[in-house]
Amino acid sequence: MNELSCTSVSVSRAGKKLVDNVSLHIGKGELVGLIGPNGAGKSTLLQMLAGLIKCDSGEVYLQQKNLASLSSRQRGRQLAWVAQNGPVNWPLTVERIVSLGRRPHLGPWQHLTDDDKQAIEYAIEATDCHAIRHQDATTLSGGERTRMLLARALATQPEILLADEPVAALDLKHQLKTMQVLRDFANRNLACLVVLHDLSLAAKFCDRLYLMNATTIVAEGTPTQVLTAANIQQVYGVEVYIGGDEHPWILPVREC
Amino acid sequence: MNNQSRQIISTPVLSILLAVIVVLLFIASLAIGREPLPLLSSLGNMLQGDGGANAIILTQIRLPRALIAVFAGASLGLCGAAMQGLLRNPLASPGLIGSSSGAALFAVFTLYLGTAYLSPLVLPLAGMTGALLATALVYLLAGRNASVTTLILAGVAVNAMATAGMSLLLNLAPSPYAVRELVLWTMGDITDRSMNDFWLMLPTTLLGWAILVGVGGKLDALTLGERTAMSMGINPITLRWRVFIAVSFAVGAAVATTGMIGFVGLVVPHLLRPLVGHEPGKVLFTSALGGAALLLAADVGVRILPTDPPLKVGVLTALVGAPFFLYLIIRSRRHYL
Repeated sequence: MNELSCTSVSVSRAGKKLVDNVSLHIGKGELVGLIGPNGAGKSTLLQMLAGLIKCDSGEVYLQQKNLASLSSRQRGRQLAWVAQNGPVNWPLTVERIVSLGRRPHLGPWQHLTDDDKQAIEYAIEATDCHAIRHQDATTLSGGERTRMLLARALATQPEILLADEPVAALDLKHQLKTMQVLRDFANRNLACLVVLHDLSLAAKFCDRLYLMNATTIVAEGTPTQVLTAANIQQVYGVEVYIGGDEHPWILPVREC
Repeated sequence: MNNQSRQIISTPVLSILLAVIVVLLFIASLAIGREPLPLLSSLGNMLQGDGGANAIILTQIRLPRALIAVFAGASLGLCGAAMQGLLRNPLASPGLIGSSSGAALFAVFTLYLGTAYLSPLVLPLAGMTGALLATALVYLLAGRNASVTTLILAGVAVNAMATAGMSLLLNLAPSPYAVRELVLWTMGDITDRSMNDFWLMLPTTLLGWAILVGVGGKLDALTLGERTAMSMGINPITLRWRVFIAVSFAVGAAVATTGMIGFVGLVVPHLLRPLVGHEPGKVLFTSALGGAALLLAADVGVRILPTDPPLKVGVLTALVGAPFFLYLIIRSRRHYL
C-alpha cells in the first residue's frame, strides 16, 4: 500500500517549469532515494510532496487521501519535512529545537507528556545529538545542525519522512549513522523519501531510487537498475566506474 | 567558550517575580505624586464613601493613571515580543507596521480640528480608527501573500505618510499654542487621564490580547523558518495577519490613550528573552508583565524627577531607550561581521 504518491504533477514558477509530469510512490517500510544533478527539481518536488508548494496539475495522495484535503495540522502530524540548510533564528538549546517536533501533536496550552519526552529522547539518541543537547543551536557546525534538524523531524514521529540532503554536510561516520537512522525509520514500517547526492550511499541504503533530470524522472527502480554507467553518463555527463557486488559503488572518472 | 545556554531562572518563577514587581510599582504609582498619599487611610475614606480630597485624588487621578500605565505598557511589551517573534528579528518593534503612527496621526487630527475637545471619547476613538486604517493600508500596499521584507517596506511607507501628515498639521496649526498642544500629545503622556479613558481603551486592548492567545507555540515553530513551520502545520500567512491585527488593536488603543511611547516594545522583550531561553512563545507573557512594569516605573520616575515642567513619560522612555537601541545595533553588527 502506498503511503505517499503523486500522479503526473507539474510545478511552474514565474513561467519556468520546475517539475514536469512526475509520478512516484513510496510504500510502507520503504526507503526511497531521489537523486539527480543540481537544478533537476528534486527539492521542489519534495516540497510539493510535503504540501508546501501547490502543484499546477496532478494530485498528491497521502495514504490514499488527497493531500490538499487534509488539514494542515493533520498533515503536520503524519508527514515531516527536513529542509536543506534550514535556518535557526533564535539561540534556543538543541533540546528545545528538537522538542518543537512535538508541536503538531500538542494543543496551545498542553505541556510535553512522558510520551512526548520519550519521542524527543529517541530522536536525540538516534541522531547522536546527546553531547550537544544543551548547546546554543545557532553555534552548531553545519553537520551538527543538520543532525539536530533531522532529530526535530524524528521527534514528530511522522508516518512519512521527507529529507532534503540530510547527509550533505556530514562527516563519513555521521553519513553512515544518519542513513542508518533513515533505514531504521523505514524498517519500522514507515516511509521515507530522501534526496541524496552521494550515489554510493543511495545504492547502499535505499530500496528504490528515482533519478531526476531537467524537471522529470528519467529512471526508476532498484539501485542496480537505476545506477548504470549509461544512465549516469546521460544525466550527469560524467564517466563513472561502477564496482561492488551486493551494493554498487560509483567512482567518478572524468567529465565527458 | 560559553555555548552551553542554560536558563538562570525558570519561566514561572520569572513571571511571578515580574507580577510582584508590577503590583509593587502599581502601589507606588498610587502613593507617589505631587501630594504623597497615605494609601491606607485614603482607601478607608473611599470605602466608607467619604468623598475626601485624598479619596478623590486616589480614584480619579492616580488610579486611572496607574491602570492605563499597566495596560498600555503590557500591550507595548506583548506586541513588541509578538512582532520580534514573527519577524524573527530583535530590532522589530510594534510601530513597524504603521499602527502607532496611524493612531497618532488621527488623534492629532482631532486636536487640530478641535473636535477632540467636544467629547473625551473623540480622540481615543479616532486614534484606534487610525491604527486599524494604517494596518489596512499596509495590507493593501503589500498584498496578502507578501514577503516579510515587502511588509516592512509597506510599514515604512505608511509610517512616512503618517509623519508627513503630522508635519502638515503642525505646519497648518493656527497658533503656537495649538502647535504645542499637538507636539506634547505625540510625546506620550499618562497624566490627566480619567477612568473613562481607561474604560475606553480596555475592550480593544483585551481584544488584541485575546487574538494573541495561543500564538506562542506557532512563533516557537517559526524559529525554524516559515517553510519548516508550514511543514509542521502552521500557516505563516494567517499567523502574520493575526499578529498584525492584534498589534493594531492593542497598540492602537494604547497610543490613542497615551500618545507615542517609544522603546518599551523594543527593549522589554529583548531584556527578557535570554531569561526564558530565547523561546519566542515564553517571551510573550513575560514581556507583557515587563512592559507594564517598565511603563509604571517610567511614569513614577517622571513624578520623582525634579524637572519643571515634569517630563512626559514618552520622553523618559525615549531617553533611556534610544541609547539601548544603539547598543543593540552595535552588538548585532558585531554578531554579523
